[in-house]
Amino acid sequence: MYDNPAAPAAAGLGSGTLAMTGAGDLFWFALAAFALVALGMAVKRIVPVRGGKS
Amino acid sequence: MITVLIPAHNEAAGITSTLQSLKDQTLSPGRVIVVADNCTDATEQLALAQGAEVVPTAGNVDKKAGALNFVLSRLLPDAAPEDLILIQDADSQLSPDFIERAVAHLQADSRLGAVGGVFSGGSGGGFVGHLQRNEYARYARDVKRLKGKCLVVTGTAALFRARTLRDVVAARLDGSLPPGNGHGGVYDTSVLTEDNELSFALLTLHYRIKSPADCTLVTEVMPSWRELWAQRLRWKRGAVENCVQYGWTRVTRPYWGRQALAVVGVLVTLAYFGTVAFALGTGAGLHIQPFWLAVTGVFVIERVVTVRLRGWKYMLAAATMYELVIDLFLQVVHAKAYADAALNNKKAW
Repeated sequence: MYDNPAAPAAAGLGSGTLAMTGAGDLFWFALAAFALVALGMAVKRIVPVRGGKS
Repeated sequence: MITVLIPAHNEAAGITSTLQSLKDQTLSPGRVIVVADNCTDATEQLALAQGAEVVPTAGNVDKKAGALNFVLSRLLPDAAPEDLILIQDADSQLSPDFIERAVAHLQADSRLGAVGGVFSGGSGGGFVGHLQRNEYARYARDVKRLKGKCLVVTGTAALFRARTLRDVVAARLDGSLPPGNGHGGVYDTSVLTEDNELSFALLTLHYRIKSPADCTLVTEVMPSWRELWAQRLRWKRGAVENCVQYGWTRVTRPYWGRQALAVVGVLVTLAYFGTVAFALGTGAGLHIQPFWLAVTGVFVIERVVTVRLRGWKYMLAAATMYELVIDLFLQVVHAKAYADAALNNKKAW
């Protein structure tokens, strides 16, 4: 109910590092793509909304 | 006429304050019924002492959903269509104007099927309790920003019209909804998350659901990691199974989307930490990347801003990202729930 899909990316990128394992570009592109999706969601949660009352 | 139903299984610790919060309502309910389900503690005596009616269940083995079906099957046939029924947990205290505001929301929209509450976490529970209070504060902020739009009207407290619940019963009997308990019960006794299933049922019947920001309540937090594990495993697995139960419909599409995102999130977390462990283990080393450092900065800001309801001290603390503890914990719970659902492991709650 309270899932925050941005959290796993935050967890994964918490150190601001990338491990060079030779896993290949495709792996990193996939990881980066998800991180960027999560980034967009995080930005959406940060920006104020108009009229926050229901 | 407003009737409050409180399913209770050994709730002696909190039932008195729950009933007190109902006495303090600006719009008083006509009846308050505590549904005593296999209680072996002082719940019944304490409820009677507070002036509530107590209805013990008879032979119920279907827990909360079964207890509610038991009493609803007696109430609904005699209720007027516009009578209101508030169903709330025994460990949740409503704000004094909860009922008044929830009634106003229902009266303003004839297709509103249920009005739920926005909850904050009660005291206690040490560090794990603190993490849940932050989590609930973020949830409250989200719901407020979405003007009450919610995924689920949770079982903590929800107000319904009698005619809405009758519609659910009729739809279960005619096959346009899953059969529930198979005998026209409002709640589905075969699922782990009966509130999630009822939300799906209402949306399938073209009702709207809402958790307005002005309907607030306080609910207990899980006092230990072990209990939080059990609660979240039940929630997560229940949500997955509710999606499977309803299939791919106009109602469930966004819920499937969230499930897919959560699965990918679990895989990404596993992959990321796997590669970090591999790099450290093989001596390949970790390399600071300015771009990803900036991305991380955005996540830090998100953690800080979204806990604003709790005050500046909590915002300051959130900047350290110490809450990754519960984020990672919940990732493991999600992984376990998906595995259990896929393997059809025994359900326990």
